Amino acid sequence: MSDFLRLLLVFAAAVSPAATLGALGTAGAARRTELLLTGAIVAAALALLAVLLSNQIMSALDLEPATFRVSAGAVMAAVGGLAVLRGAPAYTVEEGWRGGLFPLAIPLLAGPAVLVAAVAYPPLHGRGETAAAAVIIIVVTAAGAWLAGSRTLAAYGAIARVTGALLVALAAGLIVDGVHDI
Amino acid sequence: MLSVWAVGMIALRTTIAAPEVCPPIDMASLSASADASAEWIVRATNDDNSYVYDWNRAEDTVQPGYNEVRHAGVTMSPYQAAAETGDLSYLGTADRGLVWMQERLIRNDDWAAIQAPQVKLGASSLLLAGLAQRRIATGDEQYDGLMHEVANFLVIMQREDGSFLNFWDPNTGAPNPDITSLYATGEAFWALAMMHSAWPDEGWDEPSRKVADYLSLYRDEAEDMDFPPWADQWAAYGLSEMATWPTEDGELPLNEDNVAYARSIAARFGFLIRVESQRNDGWISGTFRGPQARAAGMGTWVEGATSLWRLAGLDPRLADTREDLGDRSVCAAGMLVDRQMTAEEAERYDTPELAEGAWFRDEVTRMDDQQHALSGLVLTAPILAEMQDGDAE
Repeated sequence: MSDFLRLLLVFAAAVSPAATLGALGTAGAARRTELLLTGAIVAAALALLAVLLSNQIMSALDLEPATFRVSAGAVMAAVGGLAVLRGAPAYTVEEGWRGGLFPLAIPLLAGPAVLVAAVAYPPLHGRGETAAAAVIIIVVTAAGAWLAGSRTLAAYGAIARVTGALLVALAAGLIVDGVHDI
Repeated sequence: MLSVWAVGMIALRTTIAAPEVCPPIDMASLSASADASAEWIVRATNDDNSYVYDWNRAEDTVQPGYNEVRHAGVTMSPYQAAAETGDLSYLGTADRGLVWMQERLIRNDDWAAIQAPQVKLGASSLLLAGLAQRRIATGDEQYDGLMHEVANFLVIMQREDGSFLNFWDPNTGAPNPDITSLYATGEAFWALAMMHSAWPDEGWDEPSRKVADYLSLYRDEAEDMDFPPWADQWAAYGLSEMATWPTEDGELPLNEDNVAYARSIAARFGFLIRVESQRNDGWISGTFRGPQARAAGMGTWVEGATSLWRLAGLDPRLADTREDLGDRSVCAAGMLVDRQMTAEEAERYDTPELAEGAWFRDEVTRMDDQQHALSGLVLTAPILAEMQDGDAE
């Protein structure tokens, strides 16, 4: 698997489109486009910022990249584990841009797993590829929610659990990578 | 939700994401710390040429008992410092430690080994390593005969698969076939590798390569290591020494398995140092991140990392590891310097001469704390010098 495909997989697991769609449900139907646009833009901006400032963030935390990877893996594993347990979370979603900020941008599209991954992966795979993977997944998820419209699937919860398990597995790999680095 | 995030971040920051602190050092502080450690060994040398084994500063008591393997190691360290720095100030102390070992040699056929009272591979291996370092430091060839005798003993203790047995049984006149040692195999490896460096036409490379391959491929499984690889600084020393061997046609001395193994233990040393840099002597750190390592442990990580740094400078297949290994070595050396007891601090104790220049854990310093720290510090000097030259440019 190429590095970029791996990054897409990581961010897909971290964003968890099914969980996002499941959490949104039919909420914000009247101003759904505004909601999704706000959420996607804010989430993408946060992810991009995390990627661009990854070195500065790790320096500010006094953490070597390898050590940060271990911590990031722990966060991702916790997020993935929660998803396995609860599936797609339920939120009260306000209409329009307010809903776009919360819960769509944070914590759905740019939650803890996404942000730590955005900081952890640039030293491994480069800022460009990491940023591209994160933004693509965020945009595709938001687009998927727009296309889905007011439809919701009962399977979102089950798919979110599977995605959560995938995130746990990817997190374990990141932790091992951090332990095995000098 | 925000409170969940906050609690999670606090938990992380208290544990695995705690800040990594590398106390800054320069050549002056590094050198002073190494000298203070060597001076401790000088002051801790007893009239019978043994060393103070371990001393409790709170009780002002020396614990009974001794360890001939650690004696050999403590003797090796000042010789190594002399070889690395050219400073022969501590040669006399090391020579006294050598006398202690010479008084306890058993000889048989063409070999010699330390018997104190057991005949252990590790003690003789480190005796040989010390003699090799002494020869490098002084050019003195008076112990060449003894070096060959001890090397012959090491070869007798080696099995076909390259591993070593740990005990010679004088009652049976043969090695004890059932007991190996996690430590002594690497010690023997380094000693034999230095024999080949000193006498490249005598075939010491053959047992060296056998043990190098054993360490690279089988040792961790054979010794039931739960979380391999074993952080074996002696193996790192041996691989680094092998990399200096002259070869024909520009062939590199290490094979691919050796290189892969070197890379794996480099990662292990790096990980250990990174984790240690997150520890301090406070109760939060002690509770959530474990107690600080003793100097004997941390010193071995510096020995390993610095040896592999040298190896990475000689073998292009490991060149990508050099910078990180250098950073970890300097970080660990900084921690060692920071944790060493100063002369002012030592005045608080009833026997300040056993406190000054030493490292303590749970009020106790053991002689190999100073040994491994001294070795690690002197081996870090060229790394720090290179970094400082780079900064100057």
